[in-house]
Amino acid sequence: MNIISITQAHRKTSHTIIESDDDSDIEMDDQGIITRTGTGTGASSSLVVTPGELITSDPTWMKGHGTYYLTSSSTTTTDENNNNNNSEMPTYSSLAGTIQKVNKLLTVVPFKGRYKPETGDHIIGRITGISVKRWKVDIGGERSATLLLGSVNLPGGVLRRKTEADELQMRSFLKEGDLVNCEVQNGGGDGGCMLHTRSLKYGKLRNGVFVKVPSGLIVRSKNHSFDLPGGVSIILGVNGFCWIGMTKRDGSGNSNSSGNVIGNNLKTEAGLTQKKYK
Amino acid sequence: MSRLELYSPEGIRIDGRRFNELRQFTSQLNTHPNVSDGSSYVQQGNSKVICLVQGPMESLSNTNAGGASKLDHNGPILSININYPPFANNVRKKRMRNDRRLQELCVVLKRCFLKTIVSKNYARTVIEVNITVLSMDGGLLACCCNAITLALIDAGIALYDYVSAISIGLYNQIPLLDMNTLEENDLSFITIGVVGDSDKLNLVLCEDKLPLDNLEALISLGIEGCHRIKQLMDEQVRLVGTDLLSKKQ
Amino acid sequence: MVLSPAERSYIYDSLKSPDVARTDSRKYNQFRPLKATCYFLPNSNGSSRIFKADSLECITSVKANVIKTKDLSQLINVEVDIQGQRDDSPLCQDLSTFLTKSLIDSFDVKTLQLTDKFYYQLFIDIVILSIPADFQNSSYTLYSLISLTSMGTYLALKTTRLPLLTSSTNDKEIEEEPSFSDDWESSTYLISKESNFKPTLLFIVGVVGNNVIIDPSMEEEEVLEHGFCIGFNNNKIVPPVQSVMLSTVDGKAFSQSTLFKAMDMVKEIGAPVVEALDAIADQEFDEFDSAF
Repeated sequence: MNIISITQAHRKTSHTIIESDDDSDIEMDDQGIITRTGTGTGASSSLVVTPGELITSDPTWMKGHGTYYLTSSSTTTTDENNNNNNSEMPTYSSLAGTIQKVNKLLTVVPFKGRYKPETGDHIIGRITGISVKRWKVDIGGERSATLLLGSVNLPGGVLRRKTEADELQMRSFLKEGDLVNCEVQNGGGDGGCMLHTRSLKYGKLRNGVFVKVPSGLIVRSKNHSFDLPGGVSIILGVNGFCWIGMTKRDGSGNSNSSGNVIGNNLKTEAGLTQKKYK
Repeated sequence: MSRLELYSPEGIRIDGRRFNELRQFTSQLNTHPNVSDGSSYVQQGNSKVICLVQGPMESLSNTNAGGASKLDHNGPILSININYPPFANNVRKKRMRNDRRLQELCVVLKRCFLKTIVSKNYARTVIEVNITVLSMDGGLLACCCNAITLALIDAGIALYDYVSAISIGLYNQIPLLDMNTLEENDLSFITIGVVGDSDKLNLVLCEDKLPLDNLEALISLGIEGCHRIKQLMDEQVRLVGTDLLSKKQ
Repeated sequence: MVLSPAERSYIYDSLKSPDVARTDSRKYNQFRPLKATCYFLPNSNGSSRIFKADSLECITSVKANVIKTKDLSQLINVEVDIQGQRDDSPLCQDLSTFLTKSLIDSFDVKTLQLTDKFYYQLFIDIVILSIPADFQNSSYTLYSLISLTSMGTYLALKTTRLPLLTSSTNDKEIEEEPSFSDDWESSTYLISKESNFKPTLLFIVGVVGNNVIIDPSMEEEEVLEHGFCIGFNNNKIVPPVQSVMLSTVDGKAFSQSTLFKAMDMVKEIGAPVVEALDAIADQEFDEFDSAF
């Protein structure tokens, strides 16, 4: 039965044709990955998959995140153990994204998604709650993260055994709404993760403003803190939470010189003239 | 006003379509990137619907921290809410807060999408879906279903497949695809949601009475219509996705 | 969003300084960029969608009804619906009241008059699509929405079309209901191009110390000491001129000179804003351009 459908005339938008020197493109066809014929937007379109699309029928591929397979009687996901080595297990995509192959592992990386924490990520979090010997931190991911009392450096010493008095005074150190500069200690594991601030470069953030950007725009790199001219430094957390603030003066340790108004700072350090307010 | 001819002897409906003709289908993804994790806009003829998805997250945005105890270990808590402002219909009418029909549609959609989302990945999380109907000219459930599918895909939530939906009505013995308001008011119709390119249905709702012997013809026409809609949605997803990719590189 | 005490004091000190340093480097009288589209609701006489990037979005619809009445105050009805808030919450009620009052005071009722007895009754429905998730925990009151909704209403009213009246306007002799043309192409604008009538615009001004700022962002709202809602019409300040609380903490009193400063600022920027909105309303309606 034929269906007649009407669609709007599209204005032709220009797509940048991406010249791909990627070797993996050539391997894909040899290893039985079914790709969609390009729609004229360049090599990248052949890697795009959408939910429900068949990626490959080859059972030798290991199925990673973003894929699923169907057995004859039931639907199973990659998290379950599967012993059906003899039956056909075509791999389908469950996300809209691009295919990524690492050795024999097949995953689909989605176009967009919430931040997924990984061990070693330098991020910024906002305290949302306090419970026994730990703080609950919002990092913009699927779940809140945990910051244990034992994982922070208290003022008055880099390493100090946490006493019971400290447990009762957690709010005096970090309260709800505070921003902390920290690192992911234990990433992944169903989305919840543990954080720590065990270094002089981490800790509570002061004298600045907070900006949130989509987490996909931040590239993981060795260093996420940068000093800009004018006495300004920025921290680009991998989770998309960023901090623009005053550069910490050298030799002041953990405590910052407090209460400097940015107006005065601009005058003295960047040499701007004072504007008259009419 | 002269008698409205829902289906002329030549095979033309009120708005000039044939029995197997879909209304103009337009969709857009990522319409509200800053207020939601996933968003979509679906337009079927004059029916326009916006869908905003928040999640997966730990608790509902409108409760104060108390939701943790209700989290499900087997899958996500899916909360669907349809907002139907008074200007959506032709005649302005303010809806009561707990409109029964809207609540029933929410339950039907929730059941459908709990089967479509790969639940195992989202245990103990909450996914919040908010639909705003801007203008309704027939096919409310179908538009909502299509909009939710696109918004979930945009949010990066794993789905087994698309669920594309359409409404089909019966005029005497003739099935009519994609009903508008005038047809819905006079004829019996059924809304079905089809999984991807298969013949399986995840969503079926009939709010009127239909004779059983015509049901098969209705459903097979509907399945064909849904496949076409899935194709149109898929094209849009690829377009938006490729665009996003090209901007990142 | 919830702010830490450090952030709060930083923003407050910056706003209080003589330079009025705003976090997004705007001047004290500078608006954030906004976008708007019209004519996208087929079931309404007029519609507009106005939004700022990274912020709140407001969809306005104007629908008209014909009623026989002598009471001119019921001709304009404004209702605001905020997603996630109850209809009887103070925020929704206050927004509706502000807008209704500002429109009724300045509305040129002759544009709504059909005959001696019959008038158009306008229903203006505003939908705010979403508000930030932690609104309950934050200290801003979102009264800055008054400004956004007022601009949305202005655009919707300017682009409202009404069917052409085909019966005579004098019904003392004929005494029958007005009749209209079925041809939508011959519809007329509620506010014709030649008329001087413009709906009132409401501006929200924030106060910190001796400084006044226009269009406060949500972070700025959290630390503002006070706020004003000032009406503007035809290059003049018009009622309502009212004080509103923009932040639920740190409220302080304001001085008379601050109020006059705020009124002067609104007088200064009112005309360019009206010009910009008129330009949006006059844009050619592109049938093939989707609003989203």
